[in-house]
Amino acid sequence: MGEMKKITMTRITWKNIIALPSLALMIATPFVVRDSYISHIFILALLYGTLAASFDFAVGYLGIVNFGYAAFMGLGAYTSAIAAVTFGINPWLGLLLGGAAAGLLGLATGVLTLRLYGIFVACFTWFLGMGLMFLVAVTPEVTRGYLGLSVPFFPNVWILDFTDPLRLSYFTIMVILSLSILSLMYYLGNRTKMGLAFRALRGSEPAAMVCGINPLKYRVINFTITCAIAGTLGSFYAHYIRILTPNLLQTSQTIQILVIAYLGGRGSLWGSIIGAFLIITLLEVLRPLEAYRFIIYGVILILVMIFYPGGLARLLTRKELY
Amino acid sequence: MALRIGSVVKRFGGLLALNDVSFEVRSNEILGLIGPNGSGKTTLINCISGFYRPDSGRILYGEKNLTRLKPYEISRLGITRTFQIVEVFPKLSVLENVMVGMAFSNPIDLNETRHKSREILEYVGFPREEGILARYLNTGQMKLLSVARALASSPKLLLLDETVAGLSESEQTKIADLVKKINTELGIAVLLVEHATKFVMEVCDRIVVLQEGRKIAEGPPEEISKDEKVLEAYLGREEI
Repeated sequence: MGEMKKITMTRITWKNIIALPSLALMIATPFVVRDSYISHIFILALLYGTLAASFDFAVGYLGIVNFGYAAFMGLGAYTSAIAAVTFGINPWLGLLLGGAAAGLLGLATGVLTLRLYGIFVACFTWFLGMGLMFLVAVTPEVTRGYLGLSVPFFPNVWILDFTDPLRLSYFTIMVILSLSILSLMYYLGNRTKMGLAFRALRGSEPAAMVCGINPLKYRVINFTITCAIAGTLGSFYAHYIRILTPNLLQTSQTIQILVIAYLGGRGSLWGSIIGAFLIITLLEVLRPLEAYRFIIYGVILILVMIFYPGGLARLLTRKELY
Repeated sequence: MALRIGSVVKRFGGLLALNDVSFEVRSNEILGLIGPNGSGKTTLINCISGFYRPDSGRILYGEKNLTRLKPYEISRLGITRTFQIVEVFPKLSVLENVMVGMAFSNPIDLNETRHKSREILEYVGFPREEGILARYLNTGQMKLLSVARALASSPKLLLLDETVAGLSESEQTKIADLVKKINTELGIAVLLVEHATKFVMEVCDRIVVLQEGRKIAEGPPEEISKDEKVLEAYLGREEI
């Protein structure tokens, strides 16, 4: 037993040695470098890393693969954008509206489909995602379809000027959003009864039911939360990138999130962030090969599954969240 | 509260797994359910705990009919079970396994759950550290853990499906003592399915014998061990 404890302590120390300075470095770099392009990369990496972590929150705990995940993000983006453009609603409020819209659709989808398992949920969410994308494409009078919808900046707050070309204000908000969402997921998973139910269902559904856990209830809750997170992040994305097209809702976007989640490490929140930094940087470096992006993703997925089924996170720690 | 099983029938395609089975589990007894392989014991446990829905018949707990309830609803009524092939939460620690049993049947917060779960582990005399992940336990420890988890949900009736199968003699004795202890000290009724005849004879107040989905005998262990039908059908004409 004594030996076990020692190993655990070494692991924690190792993790802290790497994790805390990395976190500090990650936050400080854009402020030190002061380069618009670097800020952009960091914002995208944090955005996709957080999306991947939240995608994995559903896969890892309950085995629900949401193949329409990008569409839920897109729904949040368009909700907030249309609210701002058409109704003049403050984009800060839009952040909440985007999350709520995606969360509500998630709730409805969950109630309808989560009695079903595995491949059925994956297919349904996939079709739903494609349906949403076509809906955006064929209603140009509201969404401007493939012409693209121009979205306003976030209004300035305090010292944060969002028209600043260095994009440091956007980066600041992204860091805050990302850290809050990751902490929320960590808290829900590890410090609440709800998290205990998620983890029990992951281990054995029959045993969880015998303990009085209603699987459908917790599957719907989990699905709704992860969809709402996608919507909130989508809404941030809309006011950051400031031009929306239906492509945002494509399945290929979901695949990108999935690759990041698997590369980073299933069941690890910070693994997804590292995975996102790698993939987003890789994409930038390999920009000339953009057309072959999905072949590269395929190769990465295959390599990860053969050599590191646990992903990058498992290189540093053996602790799994799920 | 007594559990009354009335004319339960369960078919799987052409197979009649339970054929008009009726008996009662009294509120404070240990009842053994025995029978050869394929006689319908586990099917009956699955019907009581809500995993199967009987094709006809009633399963009454007090005034409540259980046949249309879901497993988690039945669990909340105070009937809980263990599984023949042991089901623990492999990536949860020993303590967390018990906490899951505790948390969803008692309206208490996580800290209190943790505290009370420790008491349960102590009560069953769990031999390993509470922090160890359940997947590192051996079969005997997993079985003991699943009993502890079942106890944590404060049941009034406990269904044990082959808890001692595959355990050593000394582990069997330990479980036997524990079952008697929770029955007398906590007043929990127990319905146990078991192949180990010695264990059943020693622990149970009464025994029900199933054969090919039918009840062929019911009574105290001494009677059952002398019952002609049981000896012939189940034990192949040998003394127990």
